[in-house]
Amino acid sequence: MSPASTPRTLSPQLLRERWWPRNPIGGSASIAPWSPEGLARLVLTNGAGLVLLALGWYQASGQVTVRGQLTWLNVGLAGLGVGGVANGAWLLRGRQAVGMARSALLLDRGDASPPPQGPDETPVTGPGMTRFHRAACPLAAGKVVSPAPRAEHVRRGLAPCEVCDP
Amino acid sequence: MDVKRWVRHQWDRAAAVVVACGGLVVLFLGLAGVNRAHLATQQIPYLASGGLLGLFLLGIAATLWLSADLRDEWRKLDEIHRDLRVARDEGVPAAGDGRDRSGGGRRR
Repeated sequence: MSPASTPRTLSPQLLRERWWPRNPIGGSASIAPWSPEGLARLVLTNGAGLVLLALGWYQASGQVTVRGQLTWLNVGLAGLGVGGVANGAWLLRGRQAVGMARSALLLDRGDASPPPQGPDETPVTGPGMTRFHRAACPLAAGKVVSPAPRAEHVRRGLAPCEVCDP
Repeated sequence: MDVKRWVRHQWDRAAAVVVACGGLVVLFLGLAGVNRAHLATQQIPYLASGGLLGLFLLGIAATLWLSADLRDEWRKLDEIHRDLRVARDEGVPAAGDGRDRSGGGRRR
C-alpha cells in the first residue's frame, strides 16, 4: 500500500471497502492475513538472502587474505539483512491486517447495534490516550474520558480515531 | 498429547521448532569449527557459513512462529465476525452489545 494512496484518516466506510473484499472475513477463504503475492515475495526475498549467504560463504572460503574474506563476509551479512527485512515486513503486514480486521469487526458490531446519536457530539479523550473519539466509539468504551472541542484535541497533538472518525 | 495431531494442526509451529533446532545445530557446528581453527583465515569461513546461516534459520523460525500467532488471531476474528453476522441475520442481539464498561484493553 503506497503512502500516496492512504488518506490520513480512515473512515469506517473506507475500512470496510478496503478490507472486506480483499480479506473476506466470514468466508472459508480467509485462512491468513496475507495475500499469496505477499507469500511469494517473502519466499523470493528469503531465497535471494540465502543465495547471498551461500555466495559469501563460498567466496570467503576461496580467499587467502583476511581482507578478501571480510569483503565476502559482508556479502553474507547483506544476505542475512535481506532475509531479516523480508521477514520483518511480512510480520508487520500481518500485524497491520489483523489490526485493521479488528477495527472493522468493531465497526460491524456497531452496525448490529447502532449507538444512540445524542445531540452532544463533542469528541472525548482520556489520560494516556493518543486519539480522540466520538462519545459512542467502542474504543472509548470503559475508559475514563472527558469531552472537549475538536480544536482543543488537535492543539494537544491528539489524532482522530480511525474507527469512529470524529 | 497426540504429537501427530499437533504437528498436523500446528504445522507452522512444528516447522518453526524444527528450523530453530537446525539453526542452533548449525550455529554450534560453526562455533566448533572456529574453535578448531587457529588462523583467522580459517575461522572466517566458519563464521560465514555456520554463524550467518544459523542466525538466518533462527530468523525464519521466529517468523514462522509469530506468523502462526497472527493467523490464530485472524481465525478468531473470523469466527467472531461470522457469529455476529449470523446473530444479525437472525435478528438476535449479539453478545456484548450492552457495552462492556469494565475497561481494560490497549489504550488508543
